[in-house]
Amino acid sequence: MVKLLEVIKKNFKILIRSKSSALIILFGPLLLILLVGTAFNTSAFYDIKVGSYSPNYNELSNSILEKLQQDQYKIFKTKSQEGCINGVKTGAYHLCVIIPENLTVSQEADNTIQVYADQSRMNLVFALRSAIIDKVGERSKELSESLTSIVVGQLEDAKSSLEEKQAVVKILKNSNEQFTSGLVNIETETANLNLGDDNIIGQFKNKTAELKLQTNDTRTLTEIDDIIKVLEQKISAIESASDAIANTVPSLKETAIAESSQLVDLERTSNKIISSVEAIKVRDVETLVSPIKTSTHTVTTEKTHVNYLFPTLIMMVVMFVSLLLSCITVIREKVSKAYFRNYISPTKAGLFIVATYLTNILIIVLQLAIVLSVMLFIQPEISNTLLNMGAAILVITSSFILLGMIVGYIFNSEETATIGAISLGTILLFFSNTIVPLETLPSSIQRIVDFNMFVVSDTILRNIIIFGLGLNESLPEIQILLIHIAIFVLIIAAIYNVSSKMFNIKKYFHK
Amino acid sequence: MPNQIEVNNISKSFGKHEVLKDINLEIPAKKIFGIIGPSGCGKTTLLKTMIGFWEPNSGEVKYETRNLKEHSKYIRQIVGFATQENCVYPKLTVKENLEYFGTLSNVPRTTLKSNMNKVVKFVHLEDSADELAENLSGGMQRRLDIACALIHSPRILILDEPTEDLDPILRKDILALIKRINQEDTTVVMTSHLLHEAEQLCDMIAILHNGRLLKCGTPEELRNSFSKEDEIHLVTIKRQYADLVKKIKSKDVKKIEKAGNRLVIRTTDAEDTLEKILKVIKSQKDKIVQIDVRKPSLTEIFESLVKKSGEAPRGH
Repeated sequence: MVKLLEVIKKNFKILIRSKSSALIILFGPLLLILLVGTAFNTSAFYDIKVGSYSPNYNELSNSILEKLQQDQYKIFKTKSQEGCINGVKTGAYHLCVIIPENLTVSQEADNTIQVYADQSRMNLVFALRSAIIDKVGERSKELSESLTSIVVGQLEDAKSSLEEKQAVVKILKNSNEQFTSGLVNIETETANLNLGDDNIIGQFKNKTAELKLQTNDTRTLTEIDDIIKVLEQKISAIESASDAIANTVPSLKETAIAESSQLVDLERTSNKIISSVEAIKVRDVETLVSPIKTSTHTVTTEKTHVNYLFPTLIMMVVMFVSLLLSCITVIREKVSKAYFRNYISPTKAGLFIVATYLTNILIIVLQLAIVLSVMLFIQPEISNTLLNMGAAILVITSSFILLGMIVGYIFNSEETATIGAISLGTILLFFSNTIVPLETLPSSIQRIVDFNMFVVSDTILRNIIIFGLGLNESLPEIQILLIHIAIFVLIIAAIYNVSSKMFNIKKYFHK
Repeated sequence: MPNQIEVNNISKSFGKHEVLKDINLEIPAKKIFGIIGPSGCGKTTLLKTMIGFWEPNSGEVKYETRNLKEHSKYIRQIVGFATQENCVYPKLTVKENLEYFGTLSNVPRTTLKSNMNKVVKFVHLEDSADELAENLSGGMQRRLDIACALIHSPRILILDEPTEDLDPILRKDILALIKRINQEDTTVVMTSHLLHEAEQLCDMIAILHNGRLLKCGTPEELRNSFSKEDEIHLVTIKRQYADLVKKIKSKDVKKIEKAGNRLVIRTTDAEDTLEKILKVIKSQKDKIVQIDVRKPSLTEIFESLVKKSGEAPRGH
């Protein structure tokens, strides 16, 4: 134990007394976290340049561009479509938006807005394309709402007019019924008249003849005859009128009945229209325009990029620092002249391996303490996950330190070992979700990449930091790391002696 | 007392390259044992094989009758080793280096401090005890390296080219230090390609050439085995040696040659030849500036042995 502490103490002294090492160890992570924290503590995109081209801008196309400008996008109108697309190729613009000539809302018009993007900057492209589509979609929705509201308004007006006119139809229907019954009465009454059957005029004439025989008042009798004649004429007129009525009433009745059925039909149709309009459940314009709405919700409450980046950021610090530090510690010890004296001292080789591992883990714990302190300041809620995070980081760091130590034992110079460690870190980083989604890889490679220490570790930290899950939920990933650790320990034990002797053989021949 | 170190039939190859061939050494206790030979002859490999850093292809090494392979922990405890490369941490101070290597060599905490003080004083680094090793001069670094090898009070100290890359003054310092270490009853095994240095310092010398042991013994034994002749080196004021050469010629005088200003006379009867030289000089009214009588140097013995072996040194 005394020896172990002495070796760790010596390792620390050497690291701290080397100015560059001390700077990297203490200030490197702090600087990194400060830069990342400041730079990514926002959810917006800044200084995004969007090139746009349209043969003829109109109110609609300008309004779309204005919407983009409101969200801090810088719009550059280009003179040609090629200029706009080439601007994306040369990096002058992040996106190019081609708007068709006289963008209008009509059935005949071409309303397709083309978006050109540099696919090599995939993450940015997806984010921007989605933002642009949102903005154009907003304007498109506004237009749809306006058009739909006109249609819905007209429909509502028609319905209310129909409802109003239904009363008139009812009145007409009643009038028609009354008219029909009046006609029936007239027909009956006319039929009951029978003016000729009683021969009133004949009776009148008989009585007048009797009077003539009884009186000489011819004058009166003449007047009575005149009256009888007039009466005769009237009755005849009545009879002709009655005949005319009798002839006309049936056709009028037929017409009235036909009109009545038409009125019933009209009433039924208008009722049907009204009930059809009423049957339309959704008459809200916004609902008609977007009957199904989608909205994306984050599963977490964080809002800025740094929150999402934090696990990956921690992982990058842990991975690169662990790999480089352990690799450099090993290689410096190996190329150190004092290495030989360690080797010939009555001390087991395992003690030096354990001491190197402990030295590295202590340094990285120190670094992470700095990083976590800064993060606690930025995001106090992560304090709840500190214990889980600490345990996870210990396992993660151990695996990367051991991997770095292997690199250190394999290589024979600080330069090649450093390049080896950086290359290894880059490979691990490249085959992770950080640069390109893993889903873009062929499934056969994906299966291998699932065991990538960076991916596994990133998943553990994301579970803990972003989703607030416990270590139990990340147990399969932790087991993978523990298997890695066991394998690395065996490899180190196997190559320690071989590499130290190989190194000295080379040194012998070099000399 | 039996030999403290025994090297029996050690051979060591790196691939097809045979570096050591059947080396046998017997190193007595409390002596300074020198292994000499030109660069690349296998001295360092022999030392590293002797402390178990390299495993020999054949043969064995014993310390105090214990086999190295079976008792490596014990043997590492009684042996101190200083290489020609100053095996210390440049970013640690003198004291820190001593404390570190002392702890690794199982020196108890209770005695470590006193050991450190004693060793620092012994190698004359008291004034630089808190200095970083990287700030020390070459000679001081070499002394620190030796101090690190001594921190656990070993009974045997193995030094690989201890005076390598040092100027003559520093070299003298280190040789004096080695002498003092030996006077403290520590057996010293050292290598050197500076033959005259080994000649001055070592009680026993092994001559190594192309991985083979050519000769081993005390310097006197080596000289005697090489030749019974003595060499007289003479320098006079006038430096006119023609008459002298004619007058001292005899059957005892085997060879006379001029080497710069000096006249070198090789003779089997040094006393008689000296008498003659003095007489002639007196008669010529000349005066002696310098006169030495010596046995052939180790360099000459080495050159002669190499010639006899018929092999050109490696890398030459």
